[in-house]
Amino acid sequence: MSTTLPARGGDPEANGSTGHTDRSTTKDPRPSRRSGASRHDSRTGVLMIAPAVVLVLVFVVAPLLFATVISVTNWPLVGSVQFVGLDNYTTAFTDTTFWGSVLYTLVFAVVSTALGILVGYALAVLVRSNRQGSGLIRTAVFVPYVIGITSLSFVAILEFRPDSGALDLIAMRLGLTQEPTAWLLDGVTATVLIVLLGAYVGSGFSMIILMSGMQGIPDELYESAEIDGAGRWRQEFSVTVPLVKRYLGLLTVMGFIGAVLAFTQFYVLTGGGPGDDTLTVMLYVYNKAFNDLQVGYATALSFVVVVIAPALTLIQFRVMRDD
Amino acid sequence: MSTSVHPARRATPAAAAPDTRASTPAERLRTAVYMVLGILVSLVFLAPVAWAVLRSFQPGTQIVAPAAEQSFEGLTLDNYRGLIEGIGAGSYIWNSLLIATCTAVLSVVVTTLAAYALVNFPFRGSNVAFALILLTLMVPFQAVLTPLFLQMNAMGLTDNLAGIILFYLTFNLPFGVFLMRNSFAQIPREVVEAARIDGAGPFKILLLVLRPMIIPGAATVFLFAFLGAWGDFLGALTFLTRQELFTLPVAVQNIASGAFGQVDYGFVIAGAVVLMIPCLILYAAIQRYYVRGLVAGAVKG
Repeated sequence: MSTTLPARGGDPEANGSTGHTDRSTTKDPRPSRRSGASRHDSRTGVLMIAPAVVLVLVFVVAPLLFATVISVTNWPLVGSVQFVGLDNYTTAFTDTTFWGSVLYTLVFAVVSTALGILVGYALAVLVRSNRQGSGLIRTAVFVPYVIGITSLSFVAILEFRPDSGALDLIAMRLGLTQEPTAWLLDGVTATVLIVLLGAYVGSGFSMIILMSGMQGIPDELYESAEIDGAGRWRQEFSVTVPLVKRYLGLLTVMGFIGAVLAFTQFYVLTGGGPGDDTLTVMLYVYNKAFNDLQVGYATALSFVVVVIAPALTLIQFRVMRDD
Repeated sequence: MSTSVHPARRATPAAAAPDTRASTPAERLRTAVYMVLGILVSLVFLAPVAWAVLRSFQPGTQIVAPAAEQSFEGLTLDNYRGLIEGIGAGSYIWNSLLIATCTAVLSVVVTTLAAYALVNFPFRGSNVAFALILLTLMVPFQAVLTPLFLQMNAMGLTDNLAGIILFYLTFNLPFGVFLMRNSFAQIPREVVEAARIDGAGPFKILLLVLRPMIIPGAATVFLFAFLGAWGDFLGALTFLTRQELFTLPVAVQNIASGAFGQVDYGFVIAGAVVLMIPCLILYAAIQRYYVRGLVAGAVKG
């Protein structure tokens, strides 16, 4: 029946070379759709899903395939293209700046993911009870997430400035520092501040997810834990944590992917500096491609990201399926 | 006894028995502690935003004055005036709004059609199409930034508002199709069947019969597509390089880095506050779609 389908561009799988689907098996629980209108139906279906499929093929699949070609050329943004074999990869292998950025990004990802989840968990404990006022706390905590990292990075430029920024004001009032400090001109303090900024923006998300997990735990489990003599903390670690493990795993993977891809806050606040102290992978790839105009090399580098991100997403799917 | 019960228990209506209301002193103390803690936590998250808003009304010279000498006297709209008149940010705000709105509308249309097809008009290979769309989840656009740039450049889609809209649209598809597919799947099959027997065509069924039932899902898709495009920085920085096409985030970054002349932090903070406005309005207006979408997209996706 698929032979009469119009050969829509970008819909090669509609030719049915990929084995049966739920329509062609007898498991289909919808008997009235089998004949008569069904040919017309599948044509309608193909037409309706075509825009989405075409977009994915053009903007996701094609660049992925294209990337392998580009990465074996020198592909300058201006000038002629030359085939360079695996040169880009061998260069990448010995590019200490690149591996420095990979290491830095991984450390940043681990620290910021852990912090975001810890803070999110504490907040979820605070708001899960549906007490009076918990809705207001939820709303407040969620505001930075809603605003997003871009706007708040611009706010941070001003407030992390030496002398005139709020950070200096607070630090000097508390007696932590005696004189104006250029917080962002030190790799460690800049990193700490960017991690905190990320936690400020992202912990509302962790809170919502964990809260929805915690609220799904049946009361009986706490009741029987209590009968067994478990106190508050014991109940938290023996009942709550195991039952929201799935959500914790999910947040770990999502947070980690997000942090590995971090760009905006670093571009805006440090530009990777001082030196290359806060250089993330995405920042390095971007600079190589659009400042140094070495697109071929940058593409080879971004394969690291291409490999890491799907691997983590697969883990995410596994985590989800465990349940 | 109720004092030792785990707080998560109150999450369910059944646990909120009326006779456990704050009547004992211990319970009242707990409520007070909770209030104080809640206010403190809320302040931690709200104060920086409120502070930024307040700062945006400080005169430009005050903003960069030593912290100890700053005051909040003589608040003014000068930063906003300068942002619009001096920098010409009106056109950047317009670009951002246009891109975000078109992305959101198209995301709703494309994901609704795709999900409608997946649920109600499946065909040989429709599962493969669905899998292909979900594949996008595994390929963050950052990972294909450079080939995508070259390809879009060759297609004339860089420095082109339509180009960046299509780009945002594509990377919204997996979340949107997934969410809309769930919306359609929840509608009883008899509803569609009955409408077909009455002779209604697929689009008539969609617009007249199913519309009210898919609006919550569609609103969620709209919201996230809008906010994603509105707040995006890397995509806009990469694909729009002509100044008249800049989005607001890219323009603010140019102000902050001095690309528009002398750095004026008053304009930077005013730009940051303008960036917050649509986010806060949408959040206040449709908060329930927000949380719903997050939980659905993250947990089930």
